[in-house]
Amino acid sequence: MNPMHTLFPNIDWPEIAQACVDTLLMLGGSLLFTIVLGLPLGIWLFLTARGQLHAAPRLYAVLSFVVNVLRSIPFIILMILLIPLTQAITGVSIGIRGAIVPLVIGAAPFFARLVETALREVDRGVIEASQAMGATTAQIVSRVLLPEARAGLIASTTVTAVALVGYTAMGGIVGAGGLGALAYQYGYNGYKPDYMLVTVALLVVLVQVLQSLGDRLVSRYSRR
Amino acid sequence: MDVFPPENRPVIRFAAASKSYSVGGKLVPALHPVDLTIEAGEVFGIIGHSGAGKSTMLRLVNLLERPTAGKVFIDGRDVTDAQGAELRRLRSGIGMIFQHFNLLASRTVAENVAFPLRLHQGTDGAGVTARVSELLDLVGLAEHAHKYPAQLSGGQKQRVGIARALANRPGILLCDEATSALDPQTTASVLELLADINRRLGLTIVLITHEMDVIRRVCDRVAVLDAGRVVELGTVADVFLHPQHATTRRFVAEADHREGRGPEFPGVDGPLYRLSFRGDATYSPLLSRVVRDTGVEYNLLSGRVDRIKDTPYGQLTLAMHGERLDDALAQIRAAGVDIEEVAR
Repeated sequence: MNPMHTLFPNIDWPEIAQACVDTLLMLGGSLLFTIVLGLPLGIWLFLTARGQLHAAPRLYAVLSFVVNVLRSIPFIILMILLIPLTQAITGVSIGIRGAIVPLVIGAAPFFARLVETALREVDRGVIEASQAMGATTAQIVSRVLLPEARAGLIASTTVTAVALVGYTAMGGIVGAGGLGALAYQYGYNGYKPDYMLVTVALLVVLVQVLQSLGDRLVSRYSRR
Repeated sequence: MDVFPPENRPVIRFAAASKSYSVGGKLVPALHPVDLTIEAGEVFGIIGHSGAGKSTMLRLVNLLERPTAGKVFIDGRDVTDAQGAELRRLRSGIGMIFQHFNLLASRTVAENVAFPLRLHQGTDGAGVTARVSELLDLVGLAEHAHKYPAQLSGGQKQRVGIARALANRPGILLCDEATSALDPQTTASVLELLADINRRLGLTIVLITHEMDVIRRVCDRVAVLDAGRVVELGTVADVFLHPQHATTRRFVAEADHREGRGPEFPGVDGPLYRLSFRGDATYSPLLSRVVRDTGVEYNLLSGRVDRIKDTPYGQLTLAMHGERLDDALAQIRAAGVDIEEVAR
């Protein structure tokens, strides 16, 4: 008899494989769009904060408030609230594509805040030196802030990716698919502990891989 | 290499330029209105304690700080309200170095030096590479081109800063406490490099410092700032040998390492005189000749023989007495030596 079958009597391995692919697709897609939206938002937050290059206290207060509101809403509620928007953008409200919209809207403000913090770590003197050399704001952002904060930005991306793994699993509850859905449907609702064990173990492995990849990149780009 | 003597062409002019900051809704003056002209090719020092306004004054030149009132002229042009492309062009013609170097940690030495070149001329490879190696040769760092700033010593970092500041061939170099984070030996070599650059490139240098020694070694003229006001302004020799304002005296005393020790010399009788020699007079046997001629006696109480930039000077404090004292003093004066009676 197959020992895998003895240990995990209920598991349909092809289904697990498909769930892994789904989770990775959701993660990859949502991380991509989180960066595309969150990075500029984080830069905007940084530049408009008090005492910075384009200080605009009122604009900053508004941006900051919106970011805080989006970060306060529990993700599971955000998903439900966003169903109309999701349908408008993707045409579906469930599945991988349907999950990406709430994932991005949940994670982008979080990532933006991390970006803002990472940029604040850049030595003010270096920014002043670039201004003194006659750099434009665009040049300061692209050639000074982002490269100098690279290690911090990679660390922020890692933290966000790990958070997104958690969100995708939550998305499973409302029909987004992936490992989280399996854990919930079969493992929790279906009383199949082997499903729970395998899906959780795979999520742990995923998080470990993301974190060590991130750490390795951070140490490679640290020049202090 | 050509040598450019200071010429009388104003490069930087402040016309009643002042700066105030708003602190808790109240305007606090950082710099009271200052009128000042800095000539082409001179090394101009600004000395003051922290908070005296020297950093603000330096930043008015490249408009990192805008004056609250008054005007700033660069090369005769009013740049007070320069914006956008005009401001960036102006700044590319003014190099700046910093106390903490402010190098890009994520870039190599060569990339740091190339940085200002690429800001203004795009990424034309060959021209930039040639200019970078020329600059690294100038500051003696050619073999460190591919290191990162974290791998360099403080003095080397400041040399990278200098190379970077000179990249776009500026007419003015601003030095913001450029040697304050360096040890004395490194300070000396960086100051030597600055003096050399000033001579060879005819660059106008404005530096701020809280050390009179830095002023003495490289500057032609100095402004002493105290609580946001220029309290003394003149050639370094005049200000250093005959300080008028209390703040200036303190700085000079610090440079002479006689802090907290007054010139009173208790137990010494008779009047005290401070003799200031400048230039060739410093090395002539004047004193012994006068003593032989007039029969006065003297007691040497303190003294220093050194250089102000390239000019030797000596300053001696003596107790003198004798019947022909006035005659002796007249002879010393006639030789071009300044005499002050020291208050006791």
